[in-house]
Amino acid sequence: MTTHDLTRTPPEALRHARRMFAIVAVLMPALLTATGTVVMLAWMPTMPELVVTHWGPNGADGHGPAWTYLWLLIGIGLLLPVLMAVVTLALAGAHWGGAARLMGALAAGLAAFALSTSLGSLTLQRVSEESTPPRIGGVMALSFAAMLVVGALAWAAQPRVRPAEGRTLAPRHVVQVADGERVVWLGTTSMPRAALIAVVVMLLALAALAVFMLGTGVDGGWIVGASVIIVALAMATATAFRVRVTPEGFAARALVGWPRIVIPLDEIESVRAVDISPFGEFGGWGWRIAVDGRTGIVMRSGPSMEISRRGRKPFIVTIDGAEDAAALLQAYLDRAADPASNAPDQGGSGS
Amino acid sequence: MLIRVDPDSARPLYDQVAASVRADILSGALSPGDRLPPARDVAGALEINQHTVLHAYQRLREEGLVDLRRGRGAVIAAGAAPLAELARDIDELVGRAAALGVSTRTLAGIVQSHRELRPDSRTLEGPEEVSP
Repeated sequence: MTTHDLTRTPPEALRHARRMFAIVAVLMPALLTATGTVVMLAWMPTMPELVVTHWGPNGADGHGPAWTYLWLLIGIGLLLPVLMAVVTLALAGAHWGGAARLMGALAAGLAAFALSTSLGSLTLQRVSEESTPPRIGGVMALSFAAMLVVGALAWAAQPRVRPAEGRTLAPRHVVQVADGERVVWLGTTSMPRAALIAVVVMLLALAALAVFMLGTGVDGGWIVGASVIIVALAMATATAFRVRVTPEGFAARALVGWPRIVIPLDEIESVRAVDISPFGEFGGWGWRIAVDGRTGIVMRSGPSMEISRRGRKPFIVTIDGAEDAAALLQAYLDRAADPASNAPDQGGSGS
Repeated sequence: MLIRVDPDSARPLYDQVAASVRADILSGALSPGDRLPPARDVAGALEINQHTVLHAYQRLREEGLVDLRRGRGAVIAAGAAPLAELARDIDELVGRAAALGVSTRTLAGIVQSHRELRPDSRTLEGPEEVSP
């Protein structure tokens, strides 16, 4: 389609949002990590061969070379934020939204957290060389505080971009409802096959791990097993939904029967078909709530129905043929709003 | 997929359901490989009997537009692809007929009798008489 996309994030705002995002999600972690690295390298000559690298409930219970902290800092403070930034930039595309902004804030917060924990832990061990074993509690509290503060600053530094409204799609065919006729629209929306396969493969690997851990009596096997069951249940309820539009309104339910949603016609204000980007607006896939409060069944990017509800946030469902479904629902809304059009129209032209 | 029925129409309900599926194939809303919703769901939405929907699906299968497989439900057959290619021609034909004052009903009758005149004309299955 070549129609001009009026509702997408305007290029100017998008460029600004992406620039600020890059600053907080890439530049800031890079600066923080570089600072930490320099400090750590300066400390290295005076550090003991082995330092505490792990704290259990009863104090230090793991030791390792001081270098461990450097790798930790670089991994969590730089590589992870950069990875998050790349994924966000790639997935959000031109549909910037609150979810992308949140990822930027999170990336900056993570970098602050990594810097604070690694330098904090080492500081503890520089100060109390052989006295009482150091406690990590204070450092952790400080690190979480640093993450929150830096994350909040990074959130505030980024512009608030109105969530992309998405392009309104027009139906390919005129959808009309004649008197006495019952017209319904049925469709199924499901996760893209590639995504489904990836999740199933991951689940099988986890299940194999759980069986192995339980079989060999490794601690925590039951935790893995329980998470496999929970993820499998979540999958079953969230991979495919049946959607229908009838004269009574809109309904959707998961293939397994739950969860389901019914929106009666008189609760619907208007409906339209839009093009949405699940990542920029909803931060992911599934039955979701966007940062701006819209809820929806989001399985993929592309054509979706956006149902505006009276006194509530709109409901979104991504589905093939959203144009026709929205047109039909709108036809019922128009009919309800203007009962006169319901009057008998006998002997219509020969069509 | 859009399905419309008019309970007051003289046309059998199953035929109306089948016609809706055909129209969806023509419009491109359904293409080969797409799964039709379970008859139970269609029947529930239309407030008609499930067997009526199954009857429609059976009819479409006889026309080579739908594959019915146990456990997989009704799937649009590869044989439905040529139908979508006809969409534009049919649009044009119906439009021209309307401009000339020929109703779709008359047009349908002509098409039907045309088919009856030449029973050996190609079916939707495609050419079968490929010599070995």
